[in-house]
Amino acid sequence: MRGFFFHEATDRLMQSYLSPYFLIPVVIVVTVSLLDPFEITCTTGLSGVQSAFLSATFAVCLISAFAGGRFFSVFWGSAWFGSCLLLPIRRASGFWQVLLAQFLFSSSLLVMAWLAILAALAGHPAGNLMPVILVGLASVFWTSGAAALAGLLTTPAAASVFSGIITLYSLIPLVDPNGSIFTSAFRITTAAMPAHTGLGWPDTTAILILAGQGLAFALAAAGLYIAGMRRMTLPGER
Amino acid sequence: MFIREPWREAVSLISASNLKWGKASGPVSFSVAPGRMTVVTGYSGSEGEDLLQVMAGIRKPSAGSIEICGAIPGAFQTPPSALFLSAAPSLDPARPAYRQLLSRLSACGLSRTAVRGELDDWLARSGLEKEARIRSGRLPGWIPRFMTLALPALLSPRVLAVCEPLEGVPLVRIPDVVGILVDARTAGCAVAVLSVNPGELAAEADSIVSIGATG
Repeated sequence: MRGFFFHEATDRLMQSYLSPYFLIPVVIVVTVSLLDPFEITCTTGLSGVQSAFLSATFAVCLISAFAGGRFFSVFWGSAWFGSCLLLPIRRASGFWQVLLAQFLFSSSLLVMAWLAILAALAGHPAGNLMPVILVGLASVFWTSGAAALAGLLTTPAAASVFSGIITLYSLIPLVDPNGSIFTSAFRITTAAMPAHTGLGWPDTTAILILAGQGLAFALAAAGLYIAGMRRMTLPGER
Repeated sequence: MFIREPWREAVSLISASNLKWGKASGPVSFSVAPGRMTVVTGYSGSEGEDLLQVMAGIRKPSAGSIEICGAIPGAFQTPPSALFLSAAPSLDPARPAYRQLLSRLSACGLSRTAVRGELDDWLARSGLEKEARIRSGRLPGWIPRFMTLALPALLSPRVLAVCEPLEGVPLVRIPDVVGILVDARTAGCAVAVLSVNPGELAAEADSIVSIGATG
């Protein structure tokens, strides 16, 4: 079966990692209460629906980072995973299929959150949603890459905190474009998400930068995976 | 009387030459032809697991060479005709064993639907039908390890390497484990058993190789 690790990962995500995503509404409520959505809509020129889409993206990415860091570390560190690498299956698929499963899982939940927003804000002017959707998917990919890297670097709890904090700091401009909570100093996504106080964001460049950074995270994680696999020092082997 | 046994003349499917790995005390050389069973012993601690990883291509030997099915084991995939079973079962303790066994069998090339009946029969013969529905972590450690032996029993690999197959197995169940390995050998598989304490397997083995010796 070609998708062995994909199925194994999907099974575990559905059974053990779905519950954190129930916090999506809570994160959105906290975000909205901390920031003034009306002011943000005015300064950025984004429509209310676009702004809500970005809030949902931020919430899903944040939860995906916290849950994903733990998921990757637990999955790749398990004794059963190490034993499965001895089976006649492609070992590299143990990396990319798991990453793909986590990305698709988070993306599916993000799409559901967007659909809920569309249903709730039916009748409101939405504007062009395509750039917001693309930046959302790029952000989820970014988060999955960062979580995979964290999961390979350290233990489940530490990976969860590490990827969660990196994501919180880097993707906060999605909901706080004016930088009222964190300054942009040292933020990885500064080039993709500058303090956008004018129209036209997100543009193609921003989406490509986010996707590129996500790819860089994923490639770094892939390198670590291959090195760790050859020395059998994946997280659980430590 | 001389009986011609073509399998004895066949090229070895497992061939190790002056192989050293990890902190092993000495080099080991052995070869296993189709339909033969070799026990590798004389090491300590986790060196058997390390040797299994060397055979599977995950770990590089520190000296010497090894060939599986005539090729140096690759780092990215075990040969499809070879099966390596570590001492730790490839089952997730948090999930029921049955579904996992099915997914591992299908990962190794068998259709999930086609193998379901065979797996049911195998579990029934082993008296482990009920246990298969329980989370493998809740079972005594030897049961998930024993269940993993469904893979060679149903896949019929050309090469089988097993690490510590008797570890923790109750006395009454040892003949079953030995029987599975002997059946694999009878089916023409080259079987390598890595065990600190081979016990009853030693009696069934065609050759016993000790680390530091050449066999």
